Amino acid sequence: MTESGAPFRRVLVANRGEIACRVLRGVREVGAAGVAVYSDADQGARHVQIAEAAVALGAPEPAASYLDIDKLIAAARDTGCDAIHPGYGFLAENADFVRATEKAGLVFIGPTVEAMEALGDKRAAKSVAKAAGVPCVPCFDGVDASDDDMREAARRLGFPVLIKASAGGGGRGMRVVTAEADFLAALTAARREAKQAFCDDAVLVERFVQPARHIEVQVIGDGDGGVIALGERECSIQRRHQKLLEESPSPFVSDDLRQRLESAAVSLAREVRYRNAGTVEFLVDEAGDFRFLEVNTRLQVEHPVTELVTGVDLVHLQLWLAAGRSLANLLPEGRPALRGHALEARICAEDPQHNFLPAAGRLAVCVEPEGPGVRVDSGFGQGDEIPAHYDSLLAKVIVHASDRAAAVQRMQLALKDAAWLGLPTTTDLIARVVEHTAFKSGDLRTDFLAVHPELLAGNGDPPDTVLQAAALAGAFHSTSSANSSPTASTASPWDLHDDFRLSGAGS
Amino acid sequence: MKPPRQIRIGNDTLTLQARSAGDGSYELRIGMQTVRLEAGPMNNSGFWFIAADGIRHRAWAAMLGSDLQIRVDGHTWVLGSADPEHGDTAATEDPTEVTAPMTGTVVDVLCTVGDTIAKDQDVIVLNAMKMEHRLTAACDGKISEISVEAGSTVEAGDILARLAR
Repeated sequence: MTESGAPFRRVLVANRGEIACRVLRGVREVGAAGVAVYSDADQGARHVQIAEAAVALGAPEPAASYLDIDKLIAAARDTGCDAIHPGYGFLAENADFVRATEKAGLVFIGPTVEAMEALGDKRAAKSVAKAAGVPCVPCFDGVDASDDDMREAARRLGFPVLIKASAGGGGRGMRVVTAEADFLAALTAARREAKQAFCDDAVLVERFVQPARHIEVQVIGDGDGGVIALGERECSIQRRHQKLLEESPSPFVSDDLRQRLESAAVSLAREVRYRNAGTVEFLVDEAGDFRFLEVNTRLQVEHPVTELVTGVDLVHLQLWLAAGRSLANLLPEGRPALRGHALEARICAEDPQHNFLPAAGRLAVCVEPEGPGVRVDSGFGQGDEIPAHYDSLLAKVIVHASDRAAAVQRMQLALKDAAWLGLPTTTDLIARVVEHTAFKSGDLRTDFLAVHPELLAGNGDPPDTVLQAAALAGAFHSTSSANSSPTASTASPWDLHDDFRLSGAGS
Repeated sequence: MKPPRQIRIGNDTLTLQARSAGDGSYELRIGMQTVRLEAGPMNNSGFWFIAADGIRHRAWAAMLGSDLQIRVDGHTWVLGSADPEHGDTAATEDPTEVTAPMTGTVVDVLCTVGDTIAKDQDVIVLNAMKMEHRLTAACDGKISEISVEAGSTVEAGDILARLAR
């Protein structure tokens, strides 16, 4: 702890976008200064603007910027940082980065190298889970296995199977294979994607369980054996194995099941004397039987729903735990009671009508929702360019209310009042999901979108109000046109179509 | 870029026009129809209008390529431009071209020149925004040209391969 009572003096946040903004706020709230890093594509990005200092990393390609360990360590040293927070993605689960950070005399705000290696790698994590007595999804770990060995293992597991990057996360390097004939092509593609995303082409193959729910437990550990579970999150609404809509608590989880999930997660984390926030993911079947999937040794995208129902700030906890405080000191009452219900919608620049193809470009309109119980974690504002080099997450809309029905209503209104335009987004899709009767009744499953394909259809023919708005857009288009030059966008907002002249507006 | 004056609704082309009537109301021409309604800008770059239902509707608009993306009452619509000055997207889509939907890196080319391929068959694997995307042929044909190789960086709209029907 520093003399001023902050856990660190200055913290480098080795990330970008909404999570860099979220972490920088947490860093500054506990009294430390926040240092941002940015690639050439992120000059002037929001995370750069809110930091006390910012360091340029260079070319936009992740390998030359946010994945360049040497540059990040140098940036931390040059700006006098005493700690590095990795956010999620990029180097958050890279043990070499932890080693380099510690070698430079800096604190890594995350787990120890040993715990990260024991849990972060999907193969290694399964043996920890087995040692802790946690049931696992049947799998073949693929160590030193040839492609034919992998195919043979897949056949023994029984199709459909799931090929997963051992170092993976975020749905990358992941392929569902339903027939043996497609296995080798999928294996090659998964390895290639894994190599590109994580510099590691190791993959494993496991039985693909469906229907199933994705339910995960947030844990927090102090490295001295203190581990607390902070309830569960259900993240069953997904596209491409990537989460789209998350909530806490799960509508499926009874008090008894919660106790069993939490106890499995805690014993797994205790097994490695885990320090930091972490997430233990499970697949839960209709009977309520759960099997361990993987551990994420970092802050999750969906951490805010846990923060809202538990009242804890996970970034603050990460910082204090990394500075050496114990959980007994930070959470003397143990696990806080869960209060109310929280939902999180991921607003991504993707086109749900075209297989969720991501889009880059200018965020021409950005109107974020607000109001009681509404939290928005975002990294971009109106007029920002969304680069093609990084993931497509624009913002997270998180709502909290007394119960699930009220939270669903709050989310409906929050999404209705918001606008992100200039790019296709997931906004309307998520709005349709939360209005769907199956969602409202809590009948969730990881293939929800496949089971309810009508959700992916467009809005159909536009009603009169839309045509009227389209006609009016000509009158009010000033700041919203994606390709307008600065001069054009500062022109009169009353710039009507040529055929018409606006009286009294000086045009 | 200004919003298009002509949009496509199904197979129809609809002309849109708006003008201020000077008293806070606007006269709209939508195809053959004329409507007069109250409207005004909002300070968050959107605008409001009162439709025949007497309800105040809120809207935002932006260009999505040459199309008009418009959000009204919490629903987003993309109206295809049929405006010659914007370029009519329907007219320019050539099924014999495999184009990059966005900026990215080619990770694999799955065909060679001369290959006979079927509609929807994968031609090129593109990595963009950290995900792999499989670009498929829009029609049956024979590959006549491939202008990229694994590792090529491509921009949105680039033609990566051509087919001969």
